[in-house]
Amino acid sequence: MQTPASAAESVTVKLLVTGPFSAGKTTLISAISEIPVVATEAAVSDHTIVTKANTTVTMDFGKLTVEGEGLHAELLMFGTPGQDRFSFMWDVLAKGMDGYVLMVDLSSRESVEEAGKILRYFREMSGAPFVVGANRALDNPDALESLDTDLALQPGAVVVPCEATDRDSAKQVVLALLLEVLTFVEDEASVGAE
Amino acid sequence: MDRLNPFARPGRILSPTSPSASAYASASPAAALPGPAPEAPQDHVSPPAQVVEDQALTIAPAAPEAPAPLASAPEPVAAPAEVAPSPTHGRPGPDDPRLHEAIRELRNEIDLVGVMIATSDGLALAYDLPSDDSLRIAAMAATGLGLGRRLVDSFGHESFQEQVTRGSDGYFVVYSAGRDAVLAVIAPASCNLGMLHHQARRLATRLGALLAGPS
Repeated sequence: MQTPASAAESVTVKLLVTGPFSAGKTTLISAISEIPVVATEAAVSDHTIVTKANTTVTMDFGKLTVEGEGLHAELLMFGTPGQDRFSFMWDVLAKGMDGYVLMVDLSSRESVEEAGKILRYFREMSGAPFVVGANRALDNPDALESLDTDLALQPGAVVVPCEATDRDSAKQVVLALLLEVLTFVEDEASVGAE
Repeated sequence: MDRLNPFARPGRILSPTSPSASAYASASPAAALPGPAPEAPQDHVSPPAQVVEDQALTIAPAAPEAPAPLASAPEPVAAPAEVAPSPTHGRPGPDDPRLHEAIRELRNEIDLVGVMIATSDGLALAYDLPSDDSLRIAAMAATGLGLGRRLVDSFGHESFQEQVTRGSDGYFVVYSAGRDAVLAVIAPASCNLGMLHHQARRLATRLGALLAGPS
């Protein structure tokens, strides 16, 4: 996170949006970005085409400005590819991130399982704060209910039920993450000051 | 000649996703869900194995006729071929002998470390690599292609042709091979890049036509 000396309340935050294939990562970024999303999609060629036709092969990039009380935050959102054959891109994109959203599609048991693996990967790689974006939460209350257990989340981990296609709902996810990031940075600062 | 569509592989169908309702407007930002939750309903547990088929793509000396290319990939557990192979149009499938022949031809012309032909979403179709890292390299080829296309597009440079990554001790070059495929070449530092481009571009064009089917 970069804090320009001139305006102490203005911050630039680098966020990653990760999660399994078809969890809604590109959708989430597209729903809230103020700029046309820089997407790198290719046609799906294997059996997963029944799920969707295109898949991110490099990254997505979008931007969202958040104005709050005493805060001007520019959120730079980087979306990762979902399939684990692209995990080298997770490493590349995670460099310098302040936090990440783990998207998961609650309508798919496989998505939840895969999300668990991705979360383990990220937690090993980075101690950065994260929130879980529980996509398609409206139609899958049971899956939402058991998500803490299924993802082996620590107590206090933040899960945000959402519909990634909906702008307001998608926004809640990244705002929750922003809150986590700001709290994390504050905690770090207070530890450093002691 | 009856061939299977390279872009349709056997495998398990994911449960179709229900069309979601409109807004989840009431989502509260930091709604941490409380403690341990009850077990998830286990009635539609999906079968375990998932990536297996890609790892099975090795260099088959020369696959025989028809469905054979796909037969070399082990079926994911108890998954009947739910995705019916679409009409074939004579397109080569994974491990098609014509793809291996193309790789051999290129290697005969130029001294290379490895060659990968993959789909644009990063699944290996055929390869000849020194290490057992085909899954990753196919994905990297697709990433190079995806980034390259995006850059070319951003600057209005029409269509993507190739991306050269030069390290102090070698090259990784990614060539567009039609709309749906990519040719990637790993070459030693001693490689004559001009000669490589000359041969590989020709091959990529041929592969593009081959993978797009006849007509």
